[in-house]
Amino acid sequence: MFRFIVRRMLWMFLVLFVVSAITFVLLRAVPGGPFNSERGVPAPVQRSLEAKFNLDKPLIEQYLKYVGDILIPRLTGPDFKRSLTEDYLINVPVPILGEGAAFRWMNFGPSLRVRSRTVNQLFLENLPVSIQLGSAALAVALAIGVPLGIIAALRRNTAADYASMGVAIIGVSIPIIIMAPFLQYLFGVQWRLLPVSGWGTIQHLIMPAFALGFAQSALMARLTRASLLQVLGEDYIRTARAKGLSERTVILLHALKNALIPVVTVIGPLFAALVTGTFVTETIFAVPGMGRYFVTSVTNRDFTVVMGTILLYAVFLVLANMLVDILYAWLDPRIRFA
Amino acid sequence: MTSTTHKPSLTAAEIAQLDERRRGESLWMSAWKRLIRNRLAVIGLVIIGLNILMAVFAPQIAPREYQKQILTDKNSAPEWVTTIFPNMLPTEKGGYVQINNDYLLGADNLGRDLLSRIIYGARISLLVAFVGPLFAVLIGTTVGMAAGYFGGRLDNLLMRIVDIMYAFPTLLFIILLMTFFRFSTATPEPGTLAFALGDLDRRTGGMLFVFIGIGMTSWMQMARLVRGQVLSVREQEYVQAARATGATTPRIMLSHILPNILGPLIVAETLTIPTYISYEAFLSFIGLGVQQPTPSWGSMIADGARQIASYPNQALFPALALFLIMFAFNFLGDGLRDALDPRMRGVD
Repeated sequence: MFRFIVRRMLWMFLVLFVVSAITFVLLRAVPGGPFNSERGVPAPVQRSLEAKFNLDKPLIEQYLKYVGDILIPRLTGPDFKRSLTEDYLINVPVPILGEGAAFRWMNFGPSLRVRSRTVNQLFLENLPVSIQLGSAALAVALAIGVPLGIIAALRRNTAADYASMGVAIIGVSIPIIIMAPFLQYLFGVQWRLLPVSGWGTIQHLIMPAFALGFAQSALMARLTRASLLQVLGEDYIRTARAKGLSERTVILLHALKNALIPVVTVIGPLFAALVTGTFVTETIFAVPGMGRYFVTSVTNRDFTVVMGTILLYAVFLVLANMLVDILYAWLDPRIRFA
Repeated sequence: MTSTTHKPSLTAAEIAQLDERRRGESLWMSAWKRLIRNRLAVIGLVIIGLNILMAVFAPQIAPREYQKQILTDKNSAPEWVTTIFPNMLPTEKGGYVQINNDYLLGADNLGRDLLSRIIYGARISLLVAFVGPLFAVLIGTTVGMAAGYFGGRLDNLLMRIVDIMYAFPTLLFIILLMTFFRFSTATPEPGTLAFALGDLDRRTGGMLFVFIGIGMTSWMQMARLVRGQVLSVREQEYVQAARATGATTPRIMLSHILPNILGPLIVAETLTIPTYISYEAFLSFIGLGVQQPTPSWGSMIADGARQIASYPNQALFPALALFLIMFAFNFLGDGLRDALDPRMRGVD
């Protein structure tokens, strides 16, 4: 188990390395920089800005410095002061080594376009919003999807089954870009029940969470239904029924517990997908999350913000998949760590 | 989804009878028969067929030119639309909406006919629906078959590449790719490859790069699926028999393995088509997809959403078109799954 996790962590570093290299090459191959003269910056100013942010160095040197700043952890004493060029995402105090000593890791550098902000500051301000939205959407997906799937499986081939699966297929057929404007129109403009856009209160959260989570609830419903149908055909369910247990006990204690294993295991990647996929929703509902910066950062050549976002999200995705593997092995001892 | 006409369980005698009746017809023929018995799948097929006709004959069907702006007619709507949306009050009743029954669904904020733009927009969505799978099949199947059949180091290498590609957040990666393509081919020297690509992209109204962007992210899932399928049939008797009779490796792969794993691949790819369509719509929605004035349902929804409170018809009709085509492919995919793999019927 321990060896498995260590191996996966090492593999994750390699993945992040490659992801960062591909992103770096793609970003730098695009002509234009963050301080180019067509953006109204005089040439001497452009040169000194580029020197300040190391953009005048050879590309390979820039890349190695950037990746080094993120990957190489540092131990700092009490004299450490946070600055534009030194701002770490992970700061673990180490009291044994003296007052103010800390283990610091993941310096994503300064944003090139958002003045006097580091990428980490942008993360700290915006990531919690995206995570809240993603969690709420996950709750919506589970709250709608799992019960629908259970009903469909228990009432297989009845009107209830067809209705649930009909809702599911409609759900996967409505992309967010359709769902979101019409939710806004109906609930925000017509019935005036919810704020059209913005962030801050529970009411603001409802529409974006629903828009984001509904399509996933359809997938959860199908997964739950398929899994429960399979479990209901197993021998141990027949045994439980033969023992004379009540149908309710059979379903709740014997069938559901096993049927929900695949559902539980997809929660990790689903959560990662929801958090990293919020930015369509964020754009439409004017939610101040991570997505807000990404598209403008790409067009503005804010290299550090783009790289940081992609790397952070890649970490999310890799960790989520690793979690599934561990969870699977733990839930089903027949699977060994290979 | 299960077929509504099918009884859940069959007796052994009935199965034997079915087998008897089925003898003499090919696997694909009987799958086709099962498919057209599924009413929802047929509805999906019909919608897709109508859309294809609409896309092919767009110049003949469309009542107007999709790019023609008549600014005096901007935001006008026909009378029937204002009766559906009562808050769209016509000007003669003291409201703000200009009535013009020449436009069947209304005109957009530049005075372009919505109906004509929706008809032409079918071209983009349908092309994406076929280009995505094309890339997936060409790259994904090749990678997956090579990895699954040869195994060992090659398998390890190819699957690790797929793993790395999976670590990219898909939408962010597509946005990055689109920006890369668009900007690096914007002002190059004539005669270079970048210039040729950029020129082709501009002439196709921005479709080329959308296709490449979606294609480059579409093959990984396919590669994993194909590999798994190849692994499961590689050691079966009929493959061993083919090998024993001296069939060459390409022949074993193409005429023994591929036909036997085709079913799941078709199903998976059909069910992924709505994802490709929504990627295109999303890219056009944020302005990185097809370029104006080429109509795309995604960019029409984006334009319409900006004034959805005043003119809901401008977002509603393209949204309906997009919804219908995604719905159709989902139904068809479900129907195909039931038809190609009867064991899975009703189990998802």
